[in-house]
Amino acid sequence: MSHLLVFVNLSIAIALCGVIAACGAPSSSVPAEVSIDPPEFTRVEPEAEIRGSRRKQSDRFSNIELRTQFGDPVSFYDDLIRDKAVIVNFFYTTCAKICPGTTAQLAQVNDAFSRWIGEELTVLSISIDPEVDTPSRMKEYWELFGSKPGWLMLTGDEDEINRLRRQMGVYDLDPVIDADKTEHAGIITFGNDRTDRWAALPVFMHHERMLDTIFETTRDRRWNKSRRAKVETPVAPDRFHGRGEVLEIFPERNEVRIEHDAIPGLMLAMTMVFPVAESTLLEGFEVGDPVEFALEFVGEAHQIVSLSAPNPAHASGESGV
Amino acid sequence: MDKVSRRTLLKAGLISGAAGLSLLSRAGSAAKESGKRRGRRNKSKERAARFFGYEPFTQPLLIPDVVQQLEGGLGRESNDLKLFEGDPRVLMPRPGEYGEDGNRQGPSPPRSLKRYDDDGNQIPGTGIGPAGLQDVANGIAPEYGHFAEMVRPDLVAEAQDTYGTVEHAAEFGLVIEAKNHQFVPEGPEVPVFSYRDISQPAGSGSVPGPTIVVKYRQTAVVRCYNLLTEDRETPEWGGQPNTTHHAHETSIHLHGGHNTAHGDGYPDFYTLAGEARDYWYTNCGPQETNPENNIAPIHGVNDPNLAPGEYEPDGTPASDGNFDQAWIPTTLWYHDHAMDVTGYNVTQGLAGFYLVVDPREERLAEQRVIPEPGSKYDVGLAVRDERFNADGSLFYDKLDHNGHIGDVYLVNGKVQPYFEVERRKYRFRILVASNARVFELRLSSGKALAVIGTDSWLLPEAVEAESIELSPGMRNDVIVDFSDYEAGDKVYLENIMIQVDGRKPKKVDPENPTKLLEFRVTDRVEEGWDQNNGPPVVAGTKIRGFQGEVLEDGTFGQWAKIGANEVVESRVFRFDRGAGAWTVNNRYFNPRRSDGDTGLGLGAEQWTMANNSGGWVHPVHTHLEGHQVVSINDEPVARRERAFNQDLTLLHGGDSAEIRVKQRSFTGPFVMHCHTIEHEDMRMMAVLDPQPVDGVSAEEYGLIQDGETLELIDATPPLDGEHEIEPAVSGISEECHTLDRDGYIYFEATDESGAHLFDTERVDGRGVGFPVTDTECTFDMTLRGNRGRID
Repeated sequence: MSHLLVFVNLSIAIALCGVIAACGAPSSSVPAEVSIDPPEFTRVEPEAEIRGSRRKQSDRFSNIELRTQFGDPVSFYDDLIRDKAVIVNFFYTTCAKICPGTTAQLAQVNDAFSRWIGEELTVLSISIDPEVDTPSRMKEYWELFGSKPGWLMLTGDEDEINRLRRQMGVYDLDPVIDADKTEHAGIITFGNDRTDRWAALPVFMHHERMLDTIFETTRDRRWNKSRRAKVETPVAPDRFHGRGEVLEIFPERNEVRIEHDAIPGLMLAMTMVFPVAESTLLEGFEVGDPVEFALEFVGEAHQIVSLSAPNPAHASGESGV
Repeated sequence: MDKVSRRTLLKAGLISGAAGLSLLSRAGSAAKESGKRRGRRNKSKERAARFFGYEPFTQPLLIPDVVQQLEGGLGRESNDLKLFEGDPRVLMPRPGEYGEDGNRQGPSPPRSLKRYDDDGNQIPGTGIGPAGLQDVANGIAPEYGHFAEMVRPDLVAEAQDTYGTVEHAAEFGLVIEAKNHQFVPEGPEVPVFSYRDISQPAGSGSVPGPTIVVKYRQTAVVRCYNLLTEDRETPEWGGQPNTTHHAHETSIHLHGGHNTAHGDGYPDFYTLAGEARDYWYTNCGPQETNPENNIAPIHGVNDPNLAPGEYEPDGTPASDGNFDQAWIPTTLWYHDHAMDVTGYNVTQGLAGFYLVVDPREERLAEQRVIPEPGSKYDVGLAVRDERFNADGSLFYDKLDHNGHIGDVYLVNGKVQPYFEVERRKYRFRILVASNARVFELRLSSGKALAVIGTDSWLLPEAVEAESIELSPGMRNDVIVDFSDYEAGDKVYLENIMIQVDGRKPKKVDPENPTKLLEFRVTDRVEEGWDQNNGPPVVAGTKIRGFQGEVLEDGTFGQWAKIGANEVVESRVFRFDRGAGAWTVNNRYFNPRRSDGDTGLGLGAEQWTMANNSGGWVHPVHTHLEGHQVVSINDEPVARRERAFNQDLTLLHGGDSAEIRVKQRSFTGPFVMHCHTIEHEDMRMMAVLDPQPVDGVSAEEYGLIQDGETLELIDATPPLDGEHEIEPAVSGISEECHTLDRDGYIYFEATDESGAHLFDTERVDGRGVGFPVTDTECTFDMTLRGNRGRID
C-alpha cells in the first residue's frame, strides 16, 4: 500500500477531527467479525480542541483563555504549556481544609526549583472556583504565600476550567466525589511539553521524594540536579495564628463564627465557623469580642486550639507563623 | 453528537475504507450509539469498524523466540554495538568481576551519555558513545557469590565447565530498545519498546519479549542493557528509533521469582539509559528455615545419589538443599517496574515470559501428562488490551490515574491472531499482561479448562474451570486437549468480562463474549513427536501432589499449606483512595521507607488485605514470595484454582482477604502493591523490609513451644511511623547519600586527577546502587539472607 495514501487519509482524519467532537475518542476498534461489541467507553474525553494526532500529552489540553492574578489574559496551551515545563494544581482560595498544605508545598517547590523557575518552568495554580477567585483576590492569596516569582494563579470560565481539569486527569469517576472540590486539591500534575514526560503525585507524600520525581519528570536535559536548591522538608506549619471578631458562639456544637483577617500561610480574610478543641476555650467570650486564636489541623478541619483577647504587642499585624 | 456529524464520520470511514485503511474505524460515541442500535452481529457495520482493515483471526499467533544461553554457541556478531569484549560467547566483563569503573577493561570514561552545562553546551568528554555500554553500571546483587549452594548439584559441573564458576549456571543478555512493530499485517509500523536477545541483531526484539527458559536451581545472570538513550537515533548508536527522544529509565522486575532485592527489580533500582545491570536470578524456591536456630540450612542435604526433587517418605527433601518444595517457581514473567513510568513502559511493550523447568515438571512430561516444557506444545499467551491513536501508534494517557483500558485485544503483541493446533494436548500459559483490565476467559466450545498452575506455581492437582478470572499480572497454566475436536474446528479463547474503565469490571456477561484468539484444529501431525497423547488431565489429576502423599510414580507430593500454627505475626493492609491518589494504610509509597519490618525466615505472617476504596478493584501483588489465601470476606476461596499458591489476589470493592505469606531467604526492600499499574504509579505501594531476627530461634523468641504458636509478635506493629529501610542490610542509605554523594553508587571510578567519572548527578537519590566505599555505609553481607549472622 502506498504510504502516500496513508498520509492523505491521515490528514483527512485529522482535519475532520478539528471540527468533529467525537474524534476525541482515539480511533481504534475492536474489530470483530465474530466478536461482540467492545465495551462502551465512558471515559472522560476532551470535548473539543484536540490538536494533532494525540501523540503528545499536551494535545489533550484545551487552549482556554485564562487570567492571571495580575489581570493579564493568557491562553493556556499557547502561552503556558507549549515547549515549557510546568507544575499545575487546581485549588480555590476559600479552601481551608486541604489547599493551604498544597499551596505551601508548591511554595517550597518554587524555592527548590528557583533556578529554573520563570522562563523554563512555571508553577500554575488554577482556580476551580473562578467566580469567587477574581484576579485581585488571587493576587492577595499569592502574596499570602510569599509572592513567589514564576507562580501564576489563574482564573477563567468555570466550565472551561473543569474541562481542563479533567483533561489533566484530575477528576474522579464517581460524580459525587468529583463534585467535591477538595478532592482535587491534593494532586499536583507536572510535565515538560518538550520531552513529553508527564506525571502526577499526591501532594502529601514524602516531600523530598516528590521533588525527585518532579525534577526527573519536568527536567530539561540541561538541568543539573546539584543546582536544585535544598529546602527544609516540613511544609505546612502545624499551627496558624489569626485575629478577628467573634460573630456567633455555638456552645452546644463547640463552634464559633469569626470574621477574621488574613491568616498568613492559610487563608484570606473571611468569615468562617471554626470548631474549638474544648468547650472551655469559649468561656468568657461574647459576640463582638475581638480575639486572637491559634488553629491546628485536627482530623478533617482546622480547629481552634487557643483563644484569647488580642495582645497589643501583635497589633502591628505581625501575627502569623 | 448530532446526525450531521455522525454522517460525516461515516463518510470519513468510507473514504478511508476505499483506501483500504479504516482510520476512523470506531470513533467514540458514534460507534457506541450505532452499535447498540444495529445489533451486535451486523457484519457490514463491523467491516467498517476494522482496525486498519484487519480481518480478525487472519494473522498467525506470534510465538516469542527463546533467549539463547550465551554459552550456547553465540555465533552472531551484534551488528550495531560492540557488546562483548574478547570471547563473544560470554558476558564481559564477567558478572561480579567488574573493574573499579564497572568495566574490566580499565578506566575508559564510563559515562556515555551527553551532558550539558547550564548554557546548553555539551560538556567535553561526555557522550563518548557506545563503547561505554560495556559498563555494568550497578553491578550485581552483593549476595551473588554467597549463595553458590543454590545451584542444583547436577548443574554444578556444567556451570563450572561453562563459566568457571558455580555462582551462576546460565547467562543471558537482554537489550531494551525501541523498534517498529506492526500490530496487524496491513497496519502501519509504529514504535514500541522491546526486549531483544543480545545475540540477535538490533531491532529484532519482540513484543512480548523473548522467552527465557531455565532449569530449577540453575541460577542465572541476565545482563540487561537499556538502549533508550537520547542519541539512539544517530547512526553511531544504532539508528534505532527512540520516540521518547530522551534518556528513558527502566527497572526489570522478575514477577513471581524469589530473588534478592536488587535482582527483584525494586522500583527505583533503575537500569538507566545507556547502562547495564546484572540481574542475578536464583530460579529456586525459598530456603526452609531451621527452627532450631532460625538459620536457613546453608549446607542442605545434597545427596548426589538421589534424583533432585525426591523426598524421603517422611516428606523431608532428600536432595534439594532444603528448598521449599511447595514454592518451586514455574511460570514467571519479566516486565518493567520503574517508578512513576511503569504504566507507560509496560504499555510500550516491556514484558516477556520467563519459565523455570523443574524435575517434577520433566517427570510429568515424560508421563505425557503435560507437553514437554518449552516445546512447541507449551505456548505462552500474553493477553492485553491496547488503545491506538488515529495514526496507529500506541495511545497512552500519562495522566490517566484510573487505569489504562484499551479497546483492541492483543495476544502476544498481535491483534486477534489465529493459532493452528494439532489434535493433541497443549499447555497454554495464559498471562494477563494488561494494565488495568480484568479478564474472565473461557473456551468458545464450552469445554472446561484444565488448570494446572496459578501465577508462578503448579497446583497440587488439576482443577477444571469453565472460565477463569485473571486480573492484571495473573497467570493461569491450562491444558487444552484438541484431540477432543475434529480437524477444521475453530475454537476461540474468549473474554466474557465487561470493563469500561480502570475502576472495576462491570460484570461477567456470558452472552457477550469477545474472541481473542482462534485455535484452528488441523489434521497435521508433527514428525518426530511421540503420538502418545498421555492420560487426560481432569480435575484431580496429580500435578505436584500434596506433601505427605506418595504419588503413583513413587515420588512424593510437594505442595503444602501454610498452617495457622506457623503464623507468628499479623498485619493489616488497607488499600484506599486518598485525595485523588492511592494509598496503602493511608500512606503513599516512599522507596526509602519501610512499611513493615518482617522477621526473615521466622514462621509465617497472616495479612488482612482490605480494599476500602469504594467500588475500585485492586489486584494486590506480593514480591519476594507468593501467598496463600485463607479466606475472602470470611468465606473460603470460591475459585478452587486460586486456593493454592499465588502472587496476586484480586480484591473487589469492599473485599477483605486473609492471606498467609512467608518472608524467607533475602532481606528487603521489596514492594507489595496494586498491580493496576496506574494505581501503582500513583504510589499504591507499600515496602516490606524483611530483617534477620539476629540468630534467635523461634523457640528462643518465645513464639513456639512444642510446635504450638504461643502469641503473635506485636513488638513491631505494622506501619508504625516513619522508619527507613535498614541501610546496612539493604544497601541503600540516606546517610551515605548525605555523607558522601559519590559513595552512593557502586563503582568508584576516578580519573588521574581524582575527579569522579560517574555522573553522580544522574543517579543521585535514585537508589540505583550500593554503598561500598564509606566505612559507615559498608554493606554487611553477614546480615544478608535468611541465615542469621554467619560470624
